[in-house]
Amino acid sequence: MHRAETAISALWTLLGIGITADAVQLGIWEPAGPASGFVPLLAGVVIGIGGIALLLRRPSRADGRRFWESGAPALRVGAVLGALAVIAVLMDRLGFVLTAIPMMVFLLTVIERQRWTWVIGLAIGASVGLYWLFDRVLEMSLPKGPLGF
Amino acid sequence: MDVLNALAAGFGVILTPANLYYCFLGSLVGTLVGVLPGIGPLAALSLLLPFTFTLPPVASLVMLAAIFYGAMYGGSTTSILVNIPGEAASVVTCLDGHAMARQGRAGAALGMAAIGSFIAGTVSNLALTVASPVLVAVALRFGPPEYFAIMMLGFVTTLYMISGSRVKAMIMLGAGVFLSTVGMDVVNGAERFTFGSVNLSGGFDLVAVVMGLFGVSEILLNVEHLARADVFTRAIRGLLPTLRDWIDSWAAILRGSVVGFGLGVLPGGGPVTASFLSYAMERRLARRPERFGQGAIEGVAGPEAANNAAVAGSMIPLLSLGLPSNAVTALLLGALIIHGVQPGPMLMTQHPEIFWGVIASLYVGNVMLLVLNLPLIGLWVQLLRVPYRILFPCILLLTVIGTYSINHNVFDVWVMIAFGLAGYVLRRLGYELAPLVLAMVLGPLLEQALRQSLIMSGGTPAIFLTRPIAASLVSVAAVLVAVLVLRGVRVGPTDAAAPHPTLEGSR
Repeated sequence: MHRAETAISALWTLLGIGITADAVQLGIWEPAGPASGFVPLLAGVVIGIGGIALLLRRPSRADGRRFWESGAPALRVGAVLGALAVIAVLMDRLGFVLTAIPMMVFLLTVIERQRWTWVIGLAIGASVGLYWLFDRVLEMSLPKGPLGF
Repeated sequence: MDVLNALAAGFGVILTPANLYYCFLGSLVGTLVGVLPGIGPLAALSLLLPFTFTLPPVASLVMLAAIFYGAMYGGSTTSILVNIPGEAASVVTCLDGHAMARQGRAGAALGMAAIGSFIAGTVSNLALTVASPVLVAVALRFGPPEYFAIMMLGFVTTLYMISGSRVKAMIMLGAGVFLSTVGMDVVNGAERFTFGSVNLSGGFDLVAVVMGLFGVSEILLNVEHLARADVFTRAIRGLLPTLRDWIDSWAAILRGSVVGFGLGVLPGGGPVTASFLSYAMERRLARRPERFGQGAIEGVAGPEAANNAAVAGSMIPLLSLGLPSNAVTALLLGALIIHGVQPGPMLMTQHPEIFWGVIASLYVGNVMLLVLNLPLIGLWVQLLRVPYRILFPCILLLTVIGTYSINHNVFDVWVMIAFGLAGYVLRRLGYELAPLVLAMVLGPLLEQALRQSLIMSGGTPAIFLTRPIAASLVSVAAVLVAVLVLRGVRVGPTDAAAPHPTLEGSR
């Protein structure tokens, strides 16, 4: 956990420095008063100082723990994020339903190890049901693919 | 009398078939959200916010507010029957509520939680009705310096209210303000932190950010270790508390109402803090504190009253000042802005139908929830049997639909995924995300107030010290900061040791 904590603290410090530098370029003050960079400068300073304070703190007992105790949670988290990323890439091309069905099948079989037979039924039912509810009933216009849905 | 007339007009707004329907729908969804572990009111509100865009502002606000207080009611059911908090404000209800269920008194615990919530909700709604117009009258004298000062005070008190590291909370506040500055500067049209991206010129969409931080990260935390909870299967009898239960609980309910309402008003406070404080107070005041944790009914009645009272309390700064006191009310503020309604003290005069309609809806929703929670308890128990492993892919699809439908742009889905990952990592490392949302919503208002104040004063910050109200608020904030510094700011070395909030813990 200590490495993850340190990495994030370092990231805050760098982010704070970056925001501060960009804010200075935007301009801090103009004759009429504060310029575009004034508030971002304050935010950058707060983030940077906070990051440094975290970097300088004493390690605790909790720091000995690992971020993930085993590989399984990391894989499950990665699989969910991967499924979301695939949806984001394909949704505009294939439409909502054709993207959502394989995603649900993937999540329910690969991550949850459920039986194929009812997973396919559930995936089709949930995807089509959500499409019908939001696109047709609530008229929220979800992306459509080559098949028209 | 003016207040009564205005409230009557508010009831006129809410007692129409359409608004009653949305109030009922919000109460139902809120109870569902509260009952189901793995999705809290904040995640649910962020999920449903885009779906309310097409509704009139009153209906939208009424429905979203109903989800908020509905979740407070529903959360107790899961705590009592399954020993898993349905949402964070019901964590302490597990302690004595589930102990009562194990002793065969689940009905009494559920009944007292619902009735205590109803009483506290009604008491705090009355206080809200009386206090809001008074605060509006004061707030009408506020200018930009006063608004800036009160927002700074809100940020400082947020540091006091959080349970983890204050340095991390400070970073979250800074990050929230920074995120709010991304996009075009409304004063001079300058592009800030957009890196030439057209998608970023309008800034990060609040819904996509919140959906990622709370909706997606919640799912990621839960799929790590899926809880296999045992659902209470015995028949539930005796929902009406006995005379003994009433004698033990009435004072706890009243104290919980007062504590909850007060903490709801305070910036950074809210139902979670209120329920914990109420439980600690009841245990301290009890003649036999050793009963707590073993099925003491006042350990259910007090916190459940407190978390419901906090909802009405948190509506005061939102409706009177246009300032949210916690992340949920920050989303409600975002909903108002999305509907083109300018929040602030003028809301009461310019949009009385929203101001009084929402207040009246709290009374109506409170009654609806009592009906939903007592006779329909069997239905909620059945819902608890739906495994999370089936629910989460559907919730994931809802996050995608909700985020995409804001602008019909996949970029927002990528923003949601990025903030989902960020939220997951930060929560695992003990960061509280509510200050970030609060600061992101308040950021534009804070920047506008600061820049207007400094333009008014010709650039000198003395304006914050020469106007009495602003000076008082700044002084209080300065004293609170000084106390923090003198006591030593908690950097939070042990935060990461705390169990991360999942189905097995609080959110």
